[in-house]
Order: sequence, then structure tokens, then C-alpha cells
Amino acid sequence: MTKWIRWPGLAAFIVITALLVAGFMFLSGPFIAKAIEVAGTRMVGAKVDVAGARPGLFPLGLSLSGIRVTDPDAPMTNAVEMESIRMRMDTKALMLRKIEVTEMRVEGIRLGTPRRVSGALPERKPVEKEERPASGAMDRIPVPSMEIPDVKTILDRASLGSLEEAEKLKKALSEEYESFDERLRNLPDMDDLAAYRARIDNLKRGSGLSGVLTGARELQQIRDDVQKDILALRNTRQEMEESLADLRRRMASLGSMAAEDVNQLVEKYGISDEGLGNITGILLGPEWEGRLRKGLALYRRAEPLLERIREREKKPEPEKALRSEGVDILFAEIPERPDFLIRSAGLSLEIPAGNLKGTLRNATNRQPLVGSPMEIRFRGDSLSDLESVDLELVFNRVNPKAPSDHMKAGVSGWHPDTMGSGDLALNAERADLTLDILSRGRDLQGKIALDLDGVRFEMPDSGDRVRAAVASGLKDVKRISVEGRLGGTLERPEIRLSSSLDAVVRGAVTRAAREATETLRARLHEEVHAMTDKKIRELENQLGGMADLRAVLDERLNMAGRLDI
Amino acid sequence: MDAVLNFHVYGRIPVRSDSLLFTRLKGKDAMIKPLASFLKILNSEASPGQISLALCFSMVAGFTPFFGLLTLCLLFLVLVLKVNLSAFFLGWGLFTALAFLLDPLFHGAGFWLLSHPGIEGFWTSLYNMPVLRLIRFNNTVFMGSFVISLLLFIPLFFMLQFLIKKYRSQFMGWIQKTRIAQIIKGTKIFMAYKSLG
Repeated sequence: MTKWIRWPGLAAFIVITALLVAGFMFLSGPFIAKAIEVAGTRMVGAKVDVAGARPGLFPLGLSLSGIRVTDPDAPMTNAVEMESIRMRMDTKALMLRKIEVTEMRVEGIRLGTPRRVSGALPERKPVEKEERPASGAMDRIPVPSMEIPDVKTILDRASLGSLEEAEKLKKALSEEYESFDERLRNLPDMDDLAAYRARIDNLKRGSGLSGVLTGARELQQIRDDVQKDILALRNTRQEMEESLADLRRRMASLGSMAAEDVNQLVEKYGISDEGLGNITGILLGPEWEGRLRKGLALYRRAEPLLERIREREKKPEPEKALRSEGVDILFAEIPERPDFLIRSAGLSLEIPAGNLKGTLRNATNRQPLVGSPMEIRFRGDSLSDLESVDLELVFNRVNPKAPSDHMKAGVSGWHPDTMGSGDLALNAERADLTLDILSRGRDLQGKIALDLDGVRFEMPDSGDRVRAAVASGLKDVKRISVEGRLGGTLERPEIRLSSSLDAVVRGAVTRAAREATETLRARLHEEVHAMTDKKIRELENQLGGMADLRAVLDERLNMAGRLDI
Repeated sequence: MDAVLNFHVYGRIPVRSDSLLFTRLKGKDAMIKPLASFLKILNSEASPGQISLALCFSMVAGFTPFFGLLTLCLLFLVLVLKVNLSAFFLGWGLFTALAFLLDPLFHGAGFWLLSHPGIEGFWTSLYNMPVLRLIRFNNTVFMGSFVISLLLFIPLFFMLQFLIKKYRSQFMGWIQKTRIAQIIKGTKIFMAYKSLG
């Protein structure tokens, strides 16, 4: 037997194997780092950098350092930066070509750090950014108008119905006057009637039978003519009466039209307390909406990683025989394992206030195989400007048909930045926040509770009465409890905020707003009615002209009546 | 120990040794080199069994496409067992070159075996064994080449042993007198080999 055994060969084999292992250990790091960079870059859509990678054999694992993941929407910023990742892997799983991390430690996680060089991919087209709500509250939702424009300015801009009607009346009166004047000129005047009188008197002086007979015929003729003229005069007078009555009715309505004009102007330029009542939404709404949208955008980007990306075929048919490469035939895995699983990881997140310690459990793209949801927890105590932070995220895809993700967060003793901006800003000494957001499928449900203590408002004095009322109402507010309701969908989230502040502001503002509005009403009434009255007086003058025409008509009718035929 | 002419580093790519001897190889010398090596092995003191077994192992190593666990196992065997190492490394290069031509055949055979419904259960159980996954047995070229080389292993062993014995008893003297053998003997390569031997 020994004649077939070459003992030095065993030593040579050990040396060769050791050299191979050592070569792998010392030389494979850059290749592993490069492979992670390439795969990560493809997945994220922006550059992923890995400064170093070092594999380990006993125990089997991998250490990575200087991991920087570029934010695809902001290439000069890292979405996440990690100082180091150390992981221990399951050997059996790795032999089955699965990555199962049994234990992991991630140190120095930082979010939103600046990059020295752009992490944009050369082939990536610049993303056309959506119109996003501005971060400052006042940029998007101004505090509802607290100022009333000058009455003269209002009236210059306004188009008053009463004055327009007065102009129409003036024109109508002129036309009517000219029309009746024309008709009067065509109707028998005093000379014509005097001529009738002269002719009658001549006939009465006639003598003889023939004279009497001729006179009777002519008298009959005059009587007919006079009757006809009287009828024409009477008809004209009747029409003139009707026209005058109509014009008077329209003139009389000018007063009520002026009142209507005043109401409309007050409605348009007066102060509504409805908008001012939702002061919480004005102060916090846009900022919180911005944060919510940013959070949901991150969530939507990470969401595909929670689900299996590709379905492996059990037995792929080769398209053609690939020389020297062949085809890997896949068989059923028993038990089936996820391609990627981190069973447990310790995390260390660095935020401006300090360090948060966290854990990650069951991170995989195939939760149904693991049977447990992915959980992330962070906790930090005694931080600067913060008493404590608690964050719990549960991504439940155990049943892929009913995905349900849950976020609970609590921040205590936090010193918030100034909220709002411009003409109304809020500062608080301390804030306590709790968030509870649930996402089922695409639907969102959530509650937000924010308690602010040591509240102080800043509102520059502009001399406006309503502003002063708001400032006065807010002066005594030292504590605010804000409640938020989250609804809608992941794509169209809706946030409604309300607080004890709303009632305070509404009460203060309503009274001042009403007073200011009543002052506006009185001044508008005065101005509009002054203008309308002036027009009415002009119209009445014009009507006087019509009355003169009527008097002329009456005189003619009287004279015609006195003809005594 | 005989000089190594060719050896595998990865897959099917033969890499030439970087020794001073081989840097001189040019044109005709390079073509004659394997033949000279082979003749040297045949004419050496090594037993026909050692040479035949080495060539059979080299066939398995040369036909199978990956440098992995199986290659390490074969290396272990050829290093620990008293087989002719020169024959193994020479054979490894030759069989690797031959495998390029035979890969379509290996792929077809491997695909037929791996997709045969009657043995799917067997393959599935192997598929769930971590060690076997590591050698990529489910690759069509690997499976085809491995099965074919195993099938040829025993027949090739006995055939080579028979041929080597026949060569040594009947042809070695005659071959050494032939013109080609003289040419080979006259080359610098052969002289160098001889000096190494």
C-alpha cells in the first residue's frame, strides 16, 4: 500500500491549499468591494462606494469599510454612509449560493452626508424634479389676508352694478326725451289749435242759408280734425306717462342695487375667519407634509427590496449550447431558502443629537420563507437637545398578498426648530412627538401627536387690527397639543392637523375680523350710495325735462278741450 | 521532478510557466515541446500504471470545466498517490485543449442527464447537499464531462497501461532511432530536459 502513497505530496497539497486560501484572503478584498459597488450601483441607480472589503474564514464572514450610497436625486449627497459593516455568514447557506448573515454589526451610520465628488451615473439622465411643496410654510400657504384694501382702491377696481344701471337709465332717458320731443314737434301745437279757434270764429260770423249750410259742413270738418289731434295728443301723453313710470321704477331700484354692491364688495374684500381658524395647518402643515412626502419617497424606493425581485425558473431550456459554460439546471430547494437574509444585526446610527443604537431582524426579500416580518428598532437616550428617541419599523410581507407595514416613533424632550416663517413663526422650548403610521397595501392610516411646551410666537406688528388680534390671542398660549390624522395612499398622502390653537385663534380673530368688516361695510355704503345718489340726482334732472314735455302736452290738450266746437 | 509544461489556473485557460526554460520556446520548439515531454515520460523509469493513472486523473481534471472543489480533490489524489506528476500536468493541458472541442458533447450529455424525469428526485436530493452545490454538479457541461470522464476512466487506464507496455517492449528502441527522435534529441529543449532529468 505504501508504495502508492507519496507523503511529501500531502505536504505539497497542504502548502498549495494554504497558498490558495491565503491568496483568496489577501487578494480577493478589492474584487469583493468592486462586486458590491457594481451590484449596489445597479440597484440604487447612483454610485455606491466601498472603501475596503476583507473576507474572513474562521468564522466565515466579511468586513466592509467606508460604504457610501449616493442619493440618486442629489448626487452630491450620500443617502447613507456607513463606517463599517462586519458580518458573519452561514457556511452551509453560502455553499448553497445563498447569503445568510447570522450576525451583523453596522457602525457609524450617517444620513445625508455631503460627497466630495458627484455620485451621479454618467448614463443617468437628470431627473426632472416634481413640483414639491416649499419647505417654508409661508411660501406656500400664506396666513389668510388680514389687511383690508383702501375703499378708494376697492371702488376703483370694482364694477358697480348700480352705477352701470344709472348709466343705462341716463341713456334711456335721453333717448326717450328725444323721441317724445320729436313727436311733440309733429303733433298740433298751440298755433295749430289757435288756427282752429280762428276758423271756428269765422264760421260763427257767417250769414245766409247757404252760408249756414257751408259753415256746418266746415265745422264738422274742423271738429273731426280737432278730435283726431286730441286723440294723438292723448296717446302721446299716455305713452309718456308709461315711459316715465318705467324710468322712475328703474331709478327707484338703484338704491337697492347700491346696497347689493356694498354686500358683494364686503364679501370680496372683507376678512373671513374661516381660513384663520386653521392656524395649526398654516404653521405646521407644509413642513410636516414635506417630511411625510420625503419619508414616503424613501419607503417607496426601499419597498422593492422587501419583495422577491426575480422568479427563478426550475428548469430553464437553454437557448443554445454555450461552449465551456453550459447551463445551470435548477432543482427544487428543500427547504427553500431566501437568496438573502440577515437574521440579526446591531446598528449604530449617528444623528446630530448623538448616537442611536438599533437592531435589525429578518431582513430578506422573501419573508414568506422566513415566516417573520422584518423589524428595525432604534433607541437613544440622553442625547443633546433630546431626551429620548424610539423608532420601531415593521415591514410585514409574510403574506405577500396582504402587505402591512407599521411605523411607531416617539421623540421626547426635543427642542424643535422654528416652525412657520415670515409673518408668523412659532418657537417652542420642548416638544414631544409620537407617530403611529400603518400602511396596508397602498392605503395609509396614521396618527400624529405633538405636544409643544414653552411656546412663543413671533408676529411682526404691522398695525393691522386682525393681526393684532391674532397676536393677542396667541400671546397667552404657552402649550399646544397638535393632533394629526394621516390618510390617503402612498402616492397621495393626506395629512390633517388640528390643535388647541385653532379655537384660540378663531375666537380672537373672529371678533376683530367682524369689526374690521363692518367698518369696511359702512365706508363702502357711504361711498357707493354717494355715487349712486349723485347719479340719481342727474337722472331726476333728466326726468324733469320729460315732465316739461308732459306739461307742454297737457297745455295743448287743455287748449284743444277749450275749443268748444 | 520533471518540469511542468502546462498547468491550469482557472477554468479552461492553460497558462504557460514563466521559467527561463520556457521563455526560450519559440515556433517549432513550442510545437515539439509536448511531444518531447511525452516521449520523455514514456522513456522514463515511471511504471506504466503510474503514468496511466496520472493521465486518467488529468482527463477528469481537463474535461471538467471549473477550478473548484473537484480539482482540489484531484490535486490531492495525484499529489498523495504515487502517480507520475509530469504525465498528470501534461495530460491536464492536452485534455483541456481537447475539452474545448468536446464541450458541445458534454453539454448535450449533461443536459440529457440533468433533465431526465426519471432521476429528477435523485438530482434534487444532490442539489440540496451543500458540498455538491459547491462543485456545480448541476451545470450541464460539468455533469456531461464528469460522467464521460468517469466512464472512460477505467477503460482508458487499462488501455494506456497496455499501450505503454507495448511501446516500451516493442517500439521504444525503434522510435529512438527514427529521424524525428533524433531531431527532438538535437533540440535545445530536449537537452534542457535531459539536464533537468
